[in-house]
Amino acid sequence: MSILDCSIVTPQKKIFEGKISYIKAPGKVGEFGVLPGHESFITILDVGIINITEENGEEISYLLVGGYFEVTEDKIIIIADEVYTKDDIDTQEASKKAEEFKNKLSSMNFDDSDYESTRRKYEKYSNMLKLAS
Amino acid sequence: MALSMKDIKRKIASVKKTQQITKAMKMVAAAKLRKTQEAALQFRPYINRLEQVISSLTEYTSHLEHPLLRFRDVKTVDIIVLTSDRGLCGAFNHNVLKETEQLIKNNFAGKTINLTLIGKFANNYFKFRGVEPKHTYSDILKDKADYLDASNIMENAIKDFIEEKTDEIYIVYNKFINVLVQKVVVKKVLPISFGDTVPTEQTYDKFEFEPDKATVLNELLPKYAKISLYDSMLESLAGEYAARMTAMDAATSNAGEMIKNLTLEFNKARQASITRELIEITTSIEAMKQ
Repeated sequence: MSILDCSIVTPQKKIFEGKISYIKAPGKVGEFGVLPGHESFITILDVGIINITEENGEEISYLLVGGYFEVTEDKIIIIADEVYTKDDIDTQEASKKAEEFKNKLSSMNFDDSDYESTRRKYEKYSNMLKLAS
Repeated sequence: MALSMKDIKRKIASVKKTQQITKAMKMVAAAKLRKTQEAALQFRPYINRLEQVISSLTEYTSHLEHPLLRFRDVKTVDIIVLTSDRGLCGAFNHNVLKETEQLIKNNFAGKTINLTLIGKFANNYFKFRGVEPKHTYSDILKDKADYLDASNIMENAIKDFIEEKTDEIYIVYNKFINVLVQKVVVKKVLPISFGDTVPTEQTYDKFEFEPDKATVLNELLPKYAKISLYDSMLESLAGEYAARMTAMDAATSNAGEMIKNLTLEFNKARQASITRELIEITTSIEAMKQ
């Protein structure tokens, strides 16, 4: 079985680089998975949890807040805005924020100009909780 | 002899104190430089990847496909000037400001210039000369460069560019070459271009775009412009600390030199007073003999 070369970078640092056998990522138009031999494609990532299965079968999860995803010839490049690992998360803080943005979101209209940014923030904090649990 | 021994002693003490301060400042600058360099190092893979992606994308994209790629007749130019908030860093700020003045005078003569000034030095400099800047920012490059700041500043610039209020955007900043050398660089941010190749046809069809190419470009190109500014901010910050380090190092060794000279003067003065005393004693003995 062939494998995928994967690298995840953010402006702060290189998060991950290595060989993997499977990746599941939150695309802007829905979650998708990539196995070796995938067709070349480019997409934009939404806020969500990214799951990586390493070559040796170990699984890693990150919270990803927006970014760019490219796969060509079994090479994956993820250029992310923000990435959080399980250790980065302050559960209390996250649940407070998640609640706050949830309330904010429910009082907003779908076509408000900052609806999208608020939704992303809500997703970010609620996914933090999901990742931490 | 101009100064009394007491005066010289006092002066030596004061120079010594100054030397301690400059030494401490040098050390602080060195520590901050290390931190900034670390951040720049961590950032390198990101910008390399992004540049790679953007250049291969734009290579196969006509400049008409996205507003941020479009070049047009240049009537208005935006210049973002990066300086420091604090002084005591040698010619660091002066070099950037001089370059900006020259750029305005030589390259963009007859064009409307809008300035976005970052750092107190640029603000004061252009205020003094009666130039009205478009935006001014200070206190953002304190101990570290923040991507969010870069993003906000660039957001304004991108909006103006898309609304065709400005036709080209440049950044003038100090690029960190090494601790001793910082080079002033003028970087063009918008319209985004790589080299002089003018692509005509869209052949990037090896890739599948999801949901479509326009969305991907929409997401990536503004980000690239912002990242460009962030990169410049990091370089400028590293340059500032390096310049301060060099300046403070020079000041410390100058103070050392001064202390040496003053000590010599002090010793001479002391010697002179001893000699004078001896002469007085011997003359008085001679006088008593008679």
